Amino acid sequence: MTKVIYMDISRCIYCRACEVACEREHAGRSNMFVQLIGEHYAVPINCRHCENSPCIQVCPTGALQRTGDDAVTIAAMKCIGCNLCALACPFGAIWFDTLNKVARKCDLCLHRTSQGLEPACVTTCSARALAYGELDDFISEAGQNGHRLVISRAAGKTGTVVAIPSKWEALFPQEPQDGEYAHP
Amino acid sequence: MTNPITDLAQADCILVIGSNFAENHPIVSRWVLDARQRGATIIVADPRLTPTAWSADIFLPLLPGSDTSLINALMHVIIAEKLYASDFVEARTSGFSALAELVKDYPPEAAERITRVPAHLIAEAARAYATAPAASIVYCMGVTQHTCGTETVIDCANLAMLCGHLGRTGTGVNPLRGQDNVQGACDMGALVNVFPGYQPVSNPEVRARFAAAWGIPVENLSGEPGLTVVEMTHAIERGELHGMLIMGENPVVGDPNSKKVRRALEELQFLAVMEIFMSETAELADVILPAACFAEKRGTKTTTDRRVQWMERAVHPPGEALPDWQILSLLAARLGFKEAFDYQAEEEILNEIRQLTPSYAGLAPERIKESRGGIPWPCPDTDHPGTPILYTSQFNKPDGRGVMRPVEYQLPAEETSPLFPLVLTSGRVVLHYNTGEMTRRTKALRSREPELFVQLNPVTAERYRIRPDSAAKVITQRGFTVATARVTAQIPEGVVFLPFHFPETNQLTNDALDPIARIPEYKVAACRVEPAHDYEGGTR
Repeated sequence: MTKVIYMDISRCIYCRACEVACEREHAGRSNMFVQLIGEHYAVPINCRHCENSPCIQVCPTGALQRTGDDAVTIAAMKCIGCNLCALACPFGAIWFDTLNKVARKCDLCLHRTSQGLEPACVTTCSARALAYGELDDFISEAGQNGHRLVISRAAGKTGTVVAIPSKWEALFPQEPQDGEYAHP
Repeated sequence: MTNPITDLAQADCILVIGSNFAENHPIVSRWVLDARQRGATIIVADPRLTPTAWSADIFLPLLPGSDTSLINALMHVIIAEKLYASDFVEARTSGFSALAELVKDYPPEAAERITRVPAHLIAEAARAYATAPAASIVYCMGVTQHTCGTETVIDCANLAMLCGHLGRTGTGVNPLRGQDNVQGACDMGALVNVFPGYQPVSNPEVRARFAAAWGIPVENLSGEPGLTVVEMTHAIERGELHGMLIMGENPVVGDPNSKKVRRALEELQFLAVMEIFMSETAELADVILPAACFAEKRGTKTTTDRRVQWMERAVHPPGEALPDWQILSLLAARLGFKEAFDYQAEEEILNEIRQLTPSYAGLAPERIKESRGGIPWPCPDTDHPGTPILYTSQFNKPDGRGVMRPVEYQLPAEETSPLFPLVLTSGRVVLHYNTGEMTRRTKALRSREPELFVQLNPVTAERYRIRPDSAAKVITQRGFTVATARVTAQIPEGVVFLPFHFPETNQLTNDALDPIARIPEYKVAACRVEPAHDYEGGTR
């Protein structure tokens, strides 16, 4: 079975502990962030590790690739800092590190998950807006809570799934359905 | 807390008043959000629409300092609609008729004029709290840091007793303590009027027992309460206090009216500070004793829900730094008390605590080390499993009955005036901790919240010509500061908010004290705001 990061955005309290944990885990540069939406909501944003990843498709040097446990990662030495991936990403999950002049994104904490640990953002999330576990369990959890689950990967593959409370759907009119989005 | 934190997940209704736990105790959110997912009603009473209030089903945006009026109005509705737990009131409490008489004067419509909370929301919240099978009250410094702080806490207890929401899973009156071991510090008698285990110094029997155990004449133990922290500043000003030893406290930033505090500390003949960093207070010290930080010490900590946990040392202290107990032992030896403070290890100190503190008597070091998540006191003997929920069958009174004491609404010490027309309230943000001594030194946190800001409602900002993100001057009777304006509808009109992690905030707050607990009124001061375009000093 493959494990995924589950984000229940109705539980996010904007404490930003995930950002700080990610920063600590990745040499002082965070690969994720929490976006404040209006004055009532916050959404943690990290890479969804999409099935047909637009970022991999546009990367001219092959720096973006699938590695290890099916995560999309960046080989920093191949990155020329052209920023095309950041433009192509439908979730805004890639950012440009102006200090090192490379693109940065979530690597699913492969160095931790390969040793049986949770990703750093999940371990530190006090509100349990982020969880790590089996996709099937999260599908039933989302069903129980009346959340719609946005899954950007084919079944049985790792990545990040996002649970959106049904009463919030009006806030996200552009959210793609189950892995579908306009290809670049 | 009367109940464990995890109990909150079992509540059917949670009334949060004066607590912004999403920012100040983020871990508590986990259990409150679990309760909400189970279908519980969450009621949040707070002047600001904080991240805690995001999850509220009923949000009661009250004016700072009007808590007793709100709670009395809730009880008015509950009694008028006969929603109270008459069996519980009759069997386990006293004082109901006086309470019922007093809250008659607080219909929701009257409370609306004081609190600004719409009357229909007060009634809705009252019904949700009273009719829930298990309902919990969570409160924090939003209710305590007032000149009526003690009274408001009493009123929270009145409400819980009235509805019988005590002594069961998912109920209780739950104050969230601030630091990881502040509950432990109070349990150990780091208060002005009690020995460990809340045994009053005024009781001669208690004094005799402690004197015998410590091998000192009973006359050496004073039966008079000492001075609280703010009272010490006042005593220095009166010329009654000449020397201080400050341990892990930063009153120059943390105490109200802090310019006065700085002047007072400068007047001392001698000041020693035990600190891990060069704090604003340590800068004034004659001697600084380097202390070990939390990860460099071992021993017990007591959580907000009374669990006594064992913590092992992770790293050794740097340089000459020592754990606080060793510093105190060395000081005691120089003062001629070498034998009395001749401890070899933390376990020895815990065993002495157990001898003298009935509620800790069963907490043997080996037991705590083996337990998962610690053991909650009272734990009177080593076979006792600990007490996660208090008051299951009786209250801590001679007759076992909880006393409901009616509480009148009273005005804050400082009211708004034409010169100072706005209410200034202070508090915390998620990225900083207390006086910022550690967090302002942490790059990951400082980069996200680098400087002092002032939160203003758009209407207030427009009236006083303050543009978003511009520099604004906040002025009270005690001084002024300049902060970056954050204009947001999360705060009501007429109220401004400053976080106190930066040294400037408490220069403005009022050092008026609650007459019983002696807590200062950090949450209400009268202020005005002005644009500070021409101010060149920066905000720091």
